[in-house]
Amino acid sequence: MTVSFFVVLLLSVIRLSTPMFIAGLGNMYCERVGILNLGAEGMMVSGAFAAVLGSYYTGNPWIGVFCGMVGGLVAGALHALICVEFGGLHAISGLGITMLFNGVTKFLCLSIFGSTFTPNVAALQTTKILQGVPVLGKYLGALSPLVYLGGLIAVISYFVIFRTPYGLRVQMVGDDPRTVETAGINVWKMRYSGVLICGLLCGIAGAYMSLGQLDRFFEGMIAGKGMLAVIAVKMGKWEPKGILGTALLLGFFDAVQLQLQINGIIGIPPEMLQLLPYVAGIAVLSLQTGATRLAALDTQYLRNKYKF
Amino acid sequence: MVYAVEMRGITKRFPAVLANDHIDIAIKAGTVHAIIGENGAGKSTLMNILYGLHKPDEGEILINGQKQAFGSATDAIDCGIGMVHQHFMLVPRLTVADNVVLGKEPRKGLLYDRKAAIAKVAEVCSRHNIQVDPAKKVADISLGMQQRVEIVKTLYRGAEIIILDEPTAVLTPQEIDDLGEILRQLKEGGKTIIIITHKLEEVMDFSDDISVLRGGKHIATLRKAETDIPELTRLMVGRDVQLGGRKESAPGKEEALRLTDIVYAAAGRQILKSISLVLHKGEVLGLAGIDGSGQTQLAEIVAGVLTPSGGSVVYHSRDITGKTVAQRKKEGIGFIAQDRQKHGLVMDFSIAENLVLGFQRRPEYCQYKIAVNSKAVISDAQKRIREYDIRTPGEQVRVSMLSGGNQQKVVVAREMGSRPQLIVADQPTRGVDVGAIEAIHNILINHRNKGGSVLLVSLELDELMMLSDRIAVFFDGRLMGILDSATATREQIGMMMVGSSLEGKEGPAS
Repeated sequence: MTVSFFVVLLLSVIRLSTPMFIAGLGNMYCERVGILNLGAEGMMVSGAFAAVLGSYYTGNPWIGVFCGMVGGLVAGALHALICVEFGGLHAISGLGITMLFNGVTKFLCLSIFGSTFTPNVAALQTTKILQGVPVLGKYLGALSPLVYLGGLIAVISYFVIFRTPYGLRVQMVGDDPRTVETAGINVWKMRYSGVLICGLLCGIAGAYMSLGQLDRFFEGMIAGKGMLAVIAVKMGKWEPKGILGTALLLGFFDAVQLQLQINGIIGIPPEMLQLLPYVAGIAVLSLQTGATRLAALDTQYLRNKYKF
Repeated sequence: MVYAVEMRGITKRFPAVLANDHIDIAIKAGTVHAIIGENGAGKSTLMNILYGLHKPDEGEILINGQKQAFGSATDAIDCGIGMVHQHFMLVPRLTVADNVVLGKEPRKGLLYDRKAAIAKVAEVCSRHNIQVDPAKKVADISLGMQQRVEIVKTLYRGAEIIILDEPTAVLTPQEIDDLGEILRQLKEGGKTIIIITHKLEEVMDFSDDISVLRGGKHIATLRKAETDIPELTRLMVGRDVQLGGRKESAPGKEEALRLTDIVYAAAGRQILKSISLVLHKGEVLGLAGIDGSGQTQLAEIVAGVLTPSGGSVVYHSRDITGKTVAQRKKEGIGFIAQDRQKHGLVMDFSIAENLVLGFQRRPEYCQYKIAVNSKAVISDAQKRIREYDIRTPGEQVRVSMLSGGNQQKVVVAREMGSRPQLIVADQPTRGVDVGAIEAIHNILINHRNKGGSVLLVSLELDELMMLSDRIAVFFDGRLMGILDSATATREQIGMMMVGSSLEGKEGPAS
């Protein structure tokens, strides 16, 4: 229980929170254009499985990550089609996508590999080039390059949302699509873009879980991380900084839970301990009152529906 | 001469409605042109066509003599047309500058240049002499300011023709004056301004030319100097209008309502400070005051929506202070709430359903004690739609589809339908057209003539003076005095509304 313990804990927190904040950033785009996304989990599952497939067939994990992005994008496109194009109910569509991709990936996994586990594939668990860094190299190199990619995405997202014209429009669509339309901006394009970016980022988050943390895909491996990402977005008030902080907090509880399990310090059943991050999420969310809300979140916007 | 806008033979059909029927309107450049008509006369449709939000079925539009076909609002904006919608198109969370530049953001490389946005908006404001702080959040500025932001938004986009849809509906009298000043300056700057409205006083204040629409048809275009309000009203409604109803008898002497030392505080602020007054049978008591002086709260206390912090409400010699709204309804108190869309109606319900709301437990609407007797509800609704002249295709239409005046008639029909003794009416004619105002005035006065009592809150002094027998004037939660409306003057009331009390007349008169 010395310095090394804390370093291990810190690395563990970073590793565990990465998928939540990458998916959370994706969800931020999605919710900011007014589309609720309970399908983040499904998009991550799709991304995780597609990434493993890509790596399995090409032997190159980066191609795997690319495939993961495509996998997330496919799920995102489906959500966009239902919610943006046809004005479907967001919550139903999202939950449907989560169930659909849990099922589809299991089906494909069984039919390709004959098992609910895939074989081990080339992965991205460590960052070789950072291992040469003096003193910290040992720790920096022990993290997946996708962790750094995630950090980069957070910084870029901050600039995109708060410093670009596109970001200004994204902020407005989430509050009042009619205003945006009367300013001569295509609301549908904005909404599509937000949902598709979300699919893409959730795909990366899924790829991180299958190739960055592990080197394979198995059924149920996302284990609610997508749902925690949805919570992280609300707790983080739709801002990259807040989402990052919340994801780290949830990751911390996850890491503590894992440590307690591994060390077997107290005689609590592991299932109880696994509840920890989720309970923490619910607790923080319920303490947060009067949070700012996006006025147009979870609404339908269909052309010609409104009388101006 | 070349007109800024010429619309020829514009026809627009909606399912079951001919909204615009071969309308020809020409608007001279550099003038303020008002388009007036009752709710549903087709003025908004016509302007939405001009702004590219609707496509006309027939007809053509010429801008500065050039024929144009607008596919979307963007086309109209590119042609120099700007529109200020009745419900502002602003995002409260963001700053004035952000809202103004949306869609045409200044850039620095890939990034949005917020400093340039603020500078540009400030420049537009100073060029047209409009006072707005571009760095403030929209949520932090008043409605009058927000409207200026909307005007600045059109100017930023280079609008030469600015359409304002019911611009004064949400403004205070002072803000209306300021708006008039802004419009005058814009006109001097060469802009063409089109105002859609049904308020005739401001038409006479603001405009040079006036076009009247009725039932989707263009009735007349007049110069302001050559017309007056009675003529415009006649053209708008299609007949002579008698506002205010006719009082047939003197008010009664019997007490209907007695308020004693009513105190109301909310959020640590004293909103009503010891109010005592009496309302008789067969009397209309008007409550005057600047918006927010406490008169609305007093009305809501009588209706039972608010519970007073102190004092008593006695109705027909029974203390009803602690009674609920439902109990008061049974006792015969009807309430016309100020915000009909929020508190008066369920917008997604049909007219028939709204007409029984609050009375659904009455035996005539019930079946086997628990179920609603829909046949009775529907036949009753049909009867009342005829009786109160609610203009609708049928009783199953959702109230959200009705115009403001007809929505208000639904509220009035419901509250009157229970044959109340006391009507509490909080701004019953707010935002409704003159035809509906006339109808509502007649209903209230008839109620009074039959011996009923009315507690009337209104921000329109003319309305109060026409309808009331006595006027109680409020200032900052205090009752400044009660005047007899037959002898009171506008100046007297106006002085008391801003806090100078009347010598010798202060306190409850009875």
